[in-house]
Amino acid sequence: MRLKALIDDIGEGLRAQPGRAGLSFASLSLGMAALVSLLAILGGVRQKTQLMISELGVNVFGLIQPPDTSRRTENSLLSRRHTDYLAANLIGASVTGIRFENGVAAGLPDGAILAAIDENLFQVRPWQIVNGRAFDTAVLRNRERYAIVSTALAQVMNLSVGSDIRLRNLTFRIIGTADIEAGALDTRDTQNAVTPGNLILMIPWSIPSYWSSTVVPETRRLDTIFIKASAPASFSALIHRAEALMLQPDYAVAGLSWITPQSLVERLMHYQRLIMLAGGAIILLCLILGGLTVTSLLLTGVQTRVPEIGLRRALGASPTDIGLLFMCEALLITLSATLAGTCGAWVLLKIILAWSSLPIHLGPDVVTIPLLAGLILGIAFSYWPARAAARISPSEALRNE
Amino acid sequence: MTSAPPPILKLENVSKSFPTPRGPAMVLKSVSLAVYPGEFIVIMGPSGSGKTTFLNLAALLDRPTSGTVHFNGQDVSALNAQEMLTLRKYRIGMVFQRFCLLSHRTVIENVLFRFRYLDVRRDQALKFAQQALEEMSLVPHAKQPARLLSGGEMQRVAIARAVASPPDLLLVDEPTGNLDKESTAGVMHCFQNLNRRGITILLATHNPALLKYCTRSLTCRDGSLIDTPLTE
Repeated sequence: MRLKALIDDIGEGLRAQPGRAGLSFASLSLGMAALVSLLAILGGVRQKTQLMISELGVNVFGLIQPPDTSRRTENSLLSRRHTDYLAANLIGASVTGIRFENGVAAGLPDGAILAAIDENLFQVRPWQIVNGRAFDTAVLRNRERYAIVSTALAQVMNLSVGSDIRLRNLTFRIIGTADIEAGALDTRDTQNAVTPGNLILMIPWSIPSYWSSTVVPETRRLDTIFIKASAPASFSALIHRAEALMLQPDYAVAGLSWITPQSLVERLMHYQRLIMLAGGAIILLCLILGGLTVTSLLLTGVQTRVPEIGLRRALGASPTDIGLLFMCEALLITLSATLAGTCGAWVLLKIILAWSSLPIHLGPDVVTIPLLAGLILGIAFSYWPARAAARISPSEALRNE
Repeated sequence: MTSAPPPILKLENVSKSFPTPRGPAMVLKSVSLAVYPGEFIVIMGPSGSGKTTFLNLAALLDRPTSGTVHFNGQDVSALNAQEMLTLRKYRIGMVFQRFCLLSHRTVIENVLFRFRYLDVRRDQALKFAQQALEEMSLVPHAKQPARLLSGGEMQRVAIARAVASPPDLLLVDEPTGNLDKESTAGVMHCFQNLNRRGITILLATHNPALLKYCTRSLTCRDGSLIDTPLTE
């Protein structure tokens, strides 16, 4: 009976001013829809950051040299001598180097990459051998014509462990298939050198070159070096040490960019801050305006419902009952507007997700934070009118009757 | 030998003043009164004479500036706000000049509103409300919105609401101020029937025609309450 009576009472107040109540509802719904969208985008950016870090690997950082190397001298190019040098000087760290080539020239399908790798790759990068095995030192030393294929490329080319594949005039045997996460790091800044897609065929770097030669023997040139710290505590010290080593005159490399988890996060944090500031300001304004319309609705309600307040007090309502009545009215508006705004935005974002690859993440916080905001708005913007209503003296109220 | 029943309401040297920019305005001056069970008292007096202030004190909606108010033998000044509220909601009924109905709600919903702040089960409240409507001959209007009723019917709904949970004391403020002669008679007959059923009534009015319905009359003038003998 109490709940039904409360619902009837709230309805009483809202029926008295349907126009104002509708206006409050509409403005708050819009504000909440915008809040949900902002949270979903921020969630998407956050998720993208996590994906990028996980794609790079835990405690891993990379040194990338952009591909425009034709006019550089041998000494200014990233090569195998750098991996040997870094491995010798960074005690406890694992070092690996990769060179990427367009796979089409070697006879792979469009979009596939041919990678020359060493035995350390699978210890450093978070790529997993799912079938077969990785290369070991013997494979590299004996220049075995073995290959590891990514699961995506294996599906495309119908390859499996034990199959043979012909690259130009040489035949390679597939000894392993690997899962490669790709997509999050495909940015212009990383030049696709961290994870150049997931269609990859990997061969030992020590196989004699049979493609076009430049100033550096093709077998030794590298696009990227990845270094993994053995323990998280030594990670930043390791980066500083590697930076110092790469500044040594004999090993300095032109146009080198450093990809660290920190640099990835910072880049996205910059966008996150921009979105949060611009979007947050607009949403805050919307919600404050909506909240003020609720206050105005309630204040008018208090003024016009003085006799009703007097009657309620005469029938046994306490000041708290009267205050709560107005607060519940506000909460009904703010929470129903939150619900409507959240549902509307959710549907809209689902449609956008289906049609685009924008970083949008619809997690539980997209619902809980607006609900909490609706609750806080309802209480904050109804506090003053509710207090005013509760303070009306019953005898004064009945005199106005 | 039987002793007289104790008064339901007893006021002793009660004064009430309100602050104004020119200092406190004394509305009631040292008023003393005892209301006994079964009485139907009419308080006469012009507007501004202090009738409503007196009713507010009797309804425990306000506290006196000085003096004591006893309700059912209990000194009200010793009660806290919550205890006063409990006493008011269970023991006192009120009827107002402008009915104070919730216009969007039906007649039965308005009568049920009496139980809004009482601990009464819904089915029981519904039973009491229907009884009150029957008593006020309002059953045919039960499902009608209150705003569609005539003035007399609205006042009868207000009375039904006040007595749906039978009060020890029914306080009535200018109940016929907005009614024509015929409706006035109908409403006053309702009060007379309730009084015959044992409900004590304290009615404030400026209409001398209502004196014929009461058992005792008082006149409120310049903040004082004077017993006035009833004439035939």
